Amino acid sequence: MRKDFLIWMVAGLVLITVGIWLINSGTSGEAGFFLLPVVVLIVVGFAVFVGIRRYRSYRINEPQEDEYSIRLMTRATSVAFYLSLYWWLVVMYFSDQLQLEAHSIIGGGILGMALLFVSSWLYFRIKGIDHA
Amino acid sequence: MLNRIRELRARHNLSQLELARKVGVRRETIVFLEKGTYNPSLKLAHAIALVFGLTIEEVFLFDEQ
Repeated sequence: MRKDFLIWMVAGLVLITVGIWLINSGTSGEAGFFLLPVVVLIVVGFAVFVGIRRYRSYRINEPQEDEYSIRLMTRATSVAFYLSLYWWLVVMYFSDQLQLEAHSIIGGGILGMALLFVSSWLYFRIKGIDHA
Repeated sequence: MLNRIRELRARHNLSQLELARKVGVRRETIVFLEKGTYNPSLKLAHAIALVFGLTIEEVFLFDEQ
């Protein structure tokens, strides 16, 4: 249950922090202003999805984690890390081309990493760990 | 790797949840095993074979190719 609490807490903190940042940053005129909440919602939505699954398992008295879920998470994490190296290269390239500000570069990098993780997790869950 | 889990589960009149509880995994793990999209660890394969009173080779069928 401690891990569940952590998942919910991190999801809540991400939402609150992004909300505060959006209100105070004065970036409402920028092109990415409307895209950012959508991406954050996807990331937080994923955390909520994982949290609900774990709570459901807890209620029916089955393990919240087992070898399959751990292996799925490990595989998704490793692939996401590998792809994120390229993602950062892309971000650096565009930051040069478009003269982006530092907060946009870092924000884009972090959100891209989060999206890559969610995508790779979904990919391996649908495709299967051993046959992808 | 193919397996006979679905067939053996039906023969032993076990639901996916019951089998999952017997071997200490989540129900979805049994689902993915039956679909053939996940190869279990040796420990889990052994536990599943024990539930059915068979050997690992009788439950999990190794494809030479």
